[in-house]
Amino acid sequence: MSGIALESLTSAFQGVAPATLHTCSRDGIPNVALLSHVEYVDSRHVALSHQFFNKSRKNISENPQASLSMYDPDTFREIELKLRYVRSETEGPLFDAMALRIDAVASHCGLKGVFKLLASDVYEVLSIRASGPNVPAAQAIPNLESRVSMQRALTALDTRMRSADRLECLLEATLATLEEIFGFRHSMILMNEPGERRLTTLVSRGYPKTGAGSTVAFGDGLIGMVAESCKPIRVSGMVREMLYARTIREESQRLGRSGIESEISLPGLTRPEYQLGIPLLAGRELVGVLAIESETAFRFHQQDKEYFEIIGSYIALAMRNMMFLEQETDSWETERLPPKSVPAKPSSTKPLELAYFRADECVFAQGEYLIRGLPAKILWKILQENKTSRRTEFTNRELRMDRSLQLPAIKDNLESRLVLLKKRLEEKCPDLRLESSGRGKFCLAFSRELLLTEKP
Amino acid sequence: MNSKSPELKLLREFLEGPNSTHLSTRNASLTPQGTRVWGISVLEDGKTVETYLPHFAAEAILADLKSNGEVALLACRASSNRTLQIKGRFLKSFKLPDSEKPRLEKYWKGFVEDLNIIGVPNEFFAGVEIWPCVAVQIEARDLFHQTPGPGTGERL
Repeated sequence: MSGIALESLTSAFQGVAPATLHTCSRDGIPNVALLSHVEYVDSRHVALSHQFFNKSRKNISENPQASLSMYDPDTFREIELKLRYVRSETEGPLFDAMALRIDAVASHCGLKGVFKLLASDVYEVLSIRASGPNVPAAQAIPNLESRVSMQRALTALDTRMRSADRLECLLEATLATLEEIFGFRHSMILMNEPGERRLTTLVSRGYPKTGAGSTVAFGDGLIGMVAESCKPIRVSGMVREMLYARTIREESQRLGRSGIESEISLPGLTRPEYQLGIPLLAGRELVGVLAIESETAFRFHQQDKEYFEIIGSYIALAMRNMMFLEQETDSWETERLPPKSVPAKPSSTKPLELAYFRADECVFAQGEYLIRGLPAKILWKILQENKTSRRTEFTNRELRMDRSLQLPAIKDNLESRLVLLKKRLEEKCPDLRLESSGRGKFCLAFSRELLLTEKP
Repeated sequence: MNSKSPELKLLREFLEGPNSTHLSTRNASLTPQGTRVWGISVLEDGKTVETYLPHFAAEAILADLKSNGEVALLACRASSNRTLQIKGRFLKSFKLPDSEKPRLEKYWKGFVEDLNIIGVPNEFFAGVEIWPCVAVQIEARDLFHQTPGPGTGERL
């Protein structure tokens, strides 16, 4: 090979612009095709996605020589690889890794089963040649490691996470650090709902609405695919990927192919250029998913993903520990925190109308949906307690002891449900608040008269 | 000229648009090679196309073309993924005169704007030298639908 090492080109595998594959038939007719994905395998091999390029596949079966052109987003050079076909893989780690990324985009666009990887075609790299501009390093797009001191960033994250005394503080400190130290402005943490095969958004940062309480089913979109596979997924050039998938859907519809689901809406940014989903794994247990988005093109590199896998494990363990800690200490007398003040001026002088729909287990505020499920039952319980006894202080322990709430015996995720309830109230019903008054304690605060109605 | 050659005039608007265009050749050992080219023009006969080779790729590509003449040319509109592939034979090449430079610059500007739509930043192609270049004329023999999807590769 030339003096250029294949491993030095990992940025080029992000697919800034589609790669092109040049092949030639046995009878000497060249062919050129656009390629969805190129994967680095090792220092002498790459793998190409086999989805639709049928003529290229036929040519390769007749003549294993190929030439691949791709683009390096760091130097803006065109890279040409001379290749020789070696084998196709339809299972195993390489195939799974390539298929996962393709499946995530397909799921996001409602194309599961139509837009899929048929095989990972492995090629030996015979030579590498770079041409075109060679932009000075200062103009190239830096990776995470060159933007921030990783040691400093990880120390800052560790310090902030250690100083959090409750789950809510831990989650918010994590996302704040991702923005302030790492520079990632758009992020969210979703909690796994054990036994439900779905995730619920607990906290987010950088969006007009928090989205607290929104759910993603396992297997749906990038986040759902991360949960289903328990593996990180990184998609750069997201707009191009979505456009590519939508084109395939339109072509499939034109040809009358079936199996197309309705498209699901992407949580977060309307035009993300980059999405990264990291499973939050405590051991083998999926605690949740950390999702990061960027409107900036091609900002993440392979190393960034690897750093975030480590950070994800750390966050998962910290979340799990915090939940255990809150559960263990919710009967202790802990330092009482002064309650925050409720808004001095209520948003209205009229009573705040809250309705609980028993059959659906959901609460509406002023006729608008507020929350459903266990958080709704918790809210209704404490509102009823307040109505009958004027109590404003409650403990997590008494909620755990209350059989009417039907909390699971183990891994009840009570603290995460309280975080969710608090976030929903902040967003949808700011005149009614839940405030922490110490570990395992909280108080109810409201600035308007409450009018409670229970419905079948 | 082959009387069965596809009629390209109907596709002129697309082919001459701000597409991502790629040319593929092969040598005597059937080793393929390719390069990005700067747009396509459909000539008056409706069966010949002209494309524009970057100067840094011209020597190797022209060696293949002059040795066997086989060529494939792909045009893809990045913002829609609509893609066509022309296969044909090399006719001739010549250095493009300076009077054609504004036309190529206009093509290039449109191409970069189209890439902006799909999120590729301007910087990505900022350093590309599109001039000087070599014009290559190709007699179109076959035309293929190449838009990504199950029907890709259909002959038109």
